[in-house]
Amino acid sequence: MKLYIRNLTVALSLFTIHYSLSAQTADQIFKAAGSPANPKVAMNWSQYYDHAGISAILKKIAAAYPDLAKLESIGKSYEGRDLWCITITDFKSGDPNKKPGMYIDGNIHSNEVQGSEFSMYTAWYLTESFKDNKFVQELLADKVFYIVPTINPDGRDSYFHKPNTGSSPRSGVIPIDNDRDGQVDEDGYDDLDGDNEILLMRRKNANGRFRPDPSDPRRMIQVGPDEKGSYEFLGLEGKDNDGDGQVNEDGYTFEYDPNRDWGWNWQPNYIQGGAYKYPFSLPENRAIEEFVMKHPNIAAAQSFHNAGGQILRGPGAESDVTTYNAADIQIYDVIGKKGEELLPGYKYLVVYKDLYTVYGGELDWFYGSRGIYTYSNELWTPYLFFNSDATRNPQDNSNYSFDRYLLFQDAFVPWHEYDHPQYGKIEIGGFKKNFGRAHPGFLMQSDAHRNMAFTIYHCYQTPKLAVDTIKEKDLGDGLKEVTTVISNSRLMPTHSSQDLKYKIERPDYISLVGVNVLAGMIVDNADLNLTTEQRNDPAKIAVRNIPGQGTVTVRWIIQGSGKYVVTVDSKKGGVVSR
Amino acid sequence: MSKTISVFLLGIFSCFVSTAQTGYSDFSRQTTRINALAKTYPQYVRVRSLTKTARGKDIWQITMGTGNTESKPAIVVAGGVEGNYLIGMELAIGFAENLLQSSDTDSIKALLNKTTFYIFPNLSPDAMEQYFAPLQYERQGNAAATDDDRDGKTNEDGFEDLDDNGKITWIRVESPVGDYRVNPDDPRSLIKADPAKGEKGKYLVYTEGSDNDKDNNFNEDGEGGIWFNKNFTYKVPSFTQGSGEFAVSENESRVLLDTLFERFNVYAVVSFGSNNNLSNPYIYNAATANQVLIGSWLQQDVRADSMVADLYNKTVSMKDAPKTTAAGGDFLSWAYYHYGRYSFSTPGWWVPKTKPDSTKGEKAFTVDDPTANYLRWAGQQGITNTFNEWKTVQHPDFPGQKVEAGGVDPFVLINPPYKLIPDLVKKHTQFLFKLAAYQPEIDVINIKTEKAGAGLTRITVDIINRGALAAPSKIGERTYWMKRITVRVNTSGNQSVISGRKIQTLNSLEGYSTQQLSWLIKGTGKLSIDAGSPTTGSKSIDINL
Repeated sequence: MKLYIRNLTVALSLFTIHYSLSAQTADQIFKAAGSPANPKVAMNWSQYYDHAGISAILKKIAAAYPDLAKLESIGKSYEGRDLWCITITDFKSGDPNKKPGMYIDGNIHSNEVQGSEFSMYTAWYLTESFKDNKFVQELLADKVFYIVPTINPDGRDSYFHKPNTGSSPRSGVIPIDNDRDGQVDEDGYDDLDGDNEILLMRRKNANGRFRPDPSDPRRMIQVGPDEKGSYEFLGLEGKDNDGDGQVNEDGYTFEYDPNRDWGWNWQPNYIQGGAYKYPFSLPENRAIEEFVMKHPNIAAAQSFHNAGGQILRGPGAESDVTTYNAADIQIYDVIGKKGEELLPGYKYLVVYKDLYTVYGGELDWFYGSRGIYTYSNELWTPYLFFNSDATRNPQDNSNYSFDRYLLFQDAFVPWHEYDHPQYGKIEIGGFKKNFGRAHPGFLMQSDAHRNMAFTIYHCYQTPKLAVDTIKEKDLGDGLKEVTTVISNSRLMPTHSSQDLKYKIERPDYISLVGVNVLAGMIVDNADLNLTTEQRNDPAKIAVRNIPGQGTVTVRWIIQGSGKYVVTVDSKKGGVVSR
Repeated sequence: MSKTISVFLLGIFSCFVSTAQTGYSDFSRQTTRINALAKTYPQYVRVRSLTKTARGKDIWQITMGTGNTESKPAIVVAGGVEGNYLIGMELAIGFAENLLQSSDTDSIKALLNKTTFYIFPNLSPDAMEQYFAPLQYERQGNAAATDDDRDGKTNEDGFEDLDDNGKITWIRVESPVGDYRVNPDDPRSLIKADPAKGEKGKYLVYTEGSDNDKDNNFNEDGEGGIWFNKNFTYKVPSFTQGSGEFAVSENESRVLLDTLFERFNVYAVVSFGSNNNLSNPYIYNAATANQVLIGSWLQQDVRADSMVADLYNKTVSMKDAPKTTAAGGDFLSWAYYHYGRYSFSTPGWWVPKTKPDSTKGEKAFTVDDPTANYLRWAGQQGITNTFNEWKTVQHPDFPGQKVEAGGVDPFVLINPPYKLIPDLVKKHTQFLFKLAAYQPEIDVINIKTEKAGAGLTRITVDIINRGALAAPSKIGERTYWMKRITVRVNTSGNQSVISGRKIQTLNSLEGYSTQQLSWLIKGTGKLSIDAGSPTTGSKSIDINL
């Protein structure tokens, strides 16, 4: 169901006024290059927003820019939260459903939160910059952005509001009996010290293999093989709740992996850990699937994860290596390498080869099943601590140094004593869940902007079609030959080669309307007059593809005269007429 | 309900069935029969509609059993896995009818007390109705609108009944480049010419219809959507006709799977369709079974398949079943590989291999041709109206060429004449009855207590599986959609567990196997041990320390 926010504009404009009042007046501001000055929707990009926060921001953007942004709920999560999609385009210029589309989402893994802020930043930046940026105006005239800041709002809220680590929960919140004993979620983490964080447990032990690092005693280091330690680790904060001799073995934090639930090369949970019942068995992913199927104009897609500083493409599994064929990899490489240039510290990688095997992942479904060029960015990299590559050297304590000198020890909970029911006297401490994978506040906006720039470049390279030339030749006897050249002036073809291989999307139609068409043909070689005739419905020539930075030529034999119109109608390339 | 009344109703019901049932049931008649079961046997049967198809037809679920049916080990019985196998639907409904007719006998009472049956009589109701439609053809697709040839147009090139007999059969076109020739054993049937043997074809053969969209393909995109038996997750053949845009894309498949995944008590799935691992059990292949993307059944499960196939072949006593290979996306494979249950499938019937009748001057076949075999079998059975003589028709796509329509009726090669159904139902009911006797069943025996001094007692027990089938199947050990056997020591008062686990799970118990467990307990008084899982039932024992 579409929920248009236009009727709320009046009500929400009060907010806008409130915010303009609290901001500086226009004459007090000197515009910094490339950033919207004195924006209508005042935003703080150095903090995170839960689902209610995201809802409020998106509503403000849609209310402030009714001609550029529309908000709709494209489905509900398991716990009933709205899955918001904000559509950004110039609604006054053309039919949005017929413009090449860029789909962006974030937060598929509950703890990988900043993708939501980064994708909202994109919606905010495009709307706030439209009025005085010609590039943005042209972009939004040609293209449409579908932005779903969080496709896992239950998990997001649970990560923020329940005790967790920086890595939990990865899962959504549908309960699973992990240890298959017939009881569900009977032994998860326990926030023993009640600080809404799940930290580490350590215990003094004369035979332990760890000791505090003399350079920063908060940090525990492993002792050498011939050294004596003073501590042992006891895992993450928790206890044996059900008395089965295991700690934290069946909690809500790893029920399943929403990124193993997609309809391409799906495998069951014993092959692909985290798979649920069958493709799109999670309601959130199903809503996305239905949205994408209803928007065949989506030609490019981006999903935001964390962490590691990576621009990833498929395949997720080696068994899909041949699915990604050379012609498409060329396009992936051009955009991916541009990404490395725009995103310092990020590397362009291939999932199965450079990371690990993933069956049933989102990016493989977008590409394998729908033929859409798709990247997944692992946001945040330790490179951003001190703008130098992090190392695996055990002496490298840059995260502790960064916390000490730039965050003033805000990211660490000091070790403190606790009386544990099974372990006795222990100590609890460690990095908070907002550090390690999520961006520290002051680094967020800059990286959000760079990642947005990458998705804009990606979107810009979706097809741009034009009817280049129309030439007539008189054949005598009242017959004329009409030859038209259709061009695509961007990198991407109207059909990826995966699409062509399996006929995923219908052909592009080039039609001639207004005159009597006797015959129609595709011109294979104009100079040598080599053509392929289309016997059925000659006025509407079906071409399999319009290549990137390329052209196709079609020809009709017509009888009589009169005005006529040539129209190209491509699902992923848009509709143009002349 | 008093016994007299139930016997009375039973009488009416059987009478109703025997007089009215002369042919395959259409959907509305199936619905009547299914709901009649719930009315006649309220103590054993519950009927519910899982969901409705695009055409508004109910997907029925019959739950047959007693008491808390969800807590008893269960067998799933599925018909209509393929919409053109009407026999499978008859076997599924017939099984329930047949079994319940004897539900006053001790053996059936005991069965229904011990085992739950989830019966899904017809999983392809949209497709199967094509059998009863004015234009009859073998259909598997549901009512979803699909673009089978992926050309951007939907249903633009379906069948045409060129000879106007209400059935879609074949057309043959005389052509110097034809690849079919007349079968020398039976000139009514056409077989492929093999150029390697110097054979020359005479005909081009197509399904009955014309090339409506002029793309040189015949009837490649007619009405008929997603095939139930091609839309599941194991090796779904993406981008082929009927497979759907992704696995489990259809409402009926989804709701079925959601239902089954929540039924942890299911240990076996028996489906009726083209695939057959009951007449010809699987053969173990170590190489493919051990691949990460598992390619064939695991060794222990192959053994179980052989055991069950042996039971099937002895019970139904039909020979010469055609060998089949599951094509991917099928329900049989899903139920094993992705649901983790023992999964069995049979067509339920096939055309028997015929012998030449020398009194009619018939000779042994020189070519292996199922159509010729069917025609001879039909002749011997006195069935004469299922072959359409080749008849010249005018065909718009072949002006000036000789085109004839004809051939064997649709459906008859895979669905027997209805008069054979009651006997097949009886045999398959017996098979399912005997299969339930192989059910895993947990017991706790050989309970030993030894005093270890000073209030300490060592308890030793054997946890055994009294059934022939393992709990779970070998493949089921791998998936969290199967529960493990949980063994729990319930202490009270001053008791505490000194050694051994208070709660533990067993990975598996093979058929007819045992596992010994022991504990050291401190304290006195009564203590109990529970062992069980949804597919084995539970057993609780009390011990006095």
